[in-house]
Amino acid sequence: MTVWLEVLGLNCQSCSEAAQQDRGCDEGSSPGQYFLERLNQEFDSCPGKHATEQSRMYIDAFFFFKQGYFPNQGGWMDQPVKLLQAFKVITAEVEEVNEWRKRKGTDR
Amino acid sequence: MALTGINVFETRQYVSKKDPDKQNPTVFEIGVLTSDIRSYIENKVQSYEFARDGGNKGPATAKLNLTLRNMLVCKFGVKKITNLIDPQTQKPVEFDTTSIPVSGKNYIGVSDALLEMLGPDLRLELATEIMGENNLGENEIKN
Repeated sequence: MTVWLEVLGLNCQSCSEAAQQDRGCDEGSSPGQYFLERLNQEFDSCPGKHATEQSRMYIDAFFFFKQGYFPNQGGWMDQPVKLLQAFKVITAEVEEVNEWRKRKGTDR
Repeated sequence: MALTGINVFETRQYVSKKDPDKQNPTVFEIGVLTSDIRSYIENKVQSYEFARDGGNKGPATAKLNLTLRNMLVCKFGVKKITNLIDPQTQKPVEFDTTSIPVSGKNYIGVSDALLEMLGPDLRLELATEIMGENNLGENEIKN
C-alpha cells in the first residue's frame, strides 16, 4: 500500500495543514475518500496514516537499492532475508503502479 | 516492535513463554538471518532422493532434519543470552560463541555447548520466533 501513496499524491512530508484536515489526518474523514484500486480497499482517512514506519523504511531502502546501494556491507547474499523479501514485494508493486499509470494514460 | 530486517545488526529481546522465573527471566537477543545463512541452513537440513529406475524403488522423497534446523536457526539467530542459569552449577552462564565458515566467510554463532543447554523445546520455540521475525508477515506485505 505504501508504494501507492506517491501515486495518489499523499506525501506526508509535503502535506499542508489544510490538506491534513481535509484528509482526516487528525480526525476521521468520510469513508471511501481514498480508494486504492490495487488493494480494493477503502480507508476512513488518509492511507498515509496507515503506512507503518517499517514500510516507509523499506521504501527508503528500496530507493537506494535502485541506485545500487544495499543497506549492509557486501552483496545481496549478505543482506537480511526479510529485506530481500520486502524488495520483491515493492518491485512487484512498482510494476503494478507503472501498469496503472499506463492504463490511466491511455484512458485520457 | 518486530525486526525490520534492514540492518543486519538489529536485535530484539525475547523471553520464553515457558520461563519459570518471571521476576528474573532468561533474556534472548534474537536477530536477523542473512540470505547466505538462510541458504546454508536450508542446504544442511534438506535432502532429496529421486527414483532412478522409473519409480520402481518408490517415489521421490524429501527429508527435512528439524532438530538440526532448530539448532542452526538458534545458532545464527540468537545474538546474546543473559541470565541463563546452568542447571548443574545454578549460576548464570557466560555467553559463548564460535566462528563458523559459511561460503568462504566466517560467521559468529552460539557455541554448541550453550545450544545443548537450552534443550529441544526451547530451541524449537526460539527457532519459530526467529524464523517468524525473518519473514515478511501477511500484514507487512499488504502494508
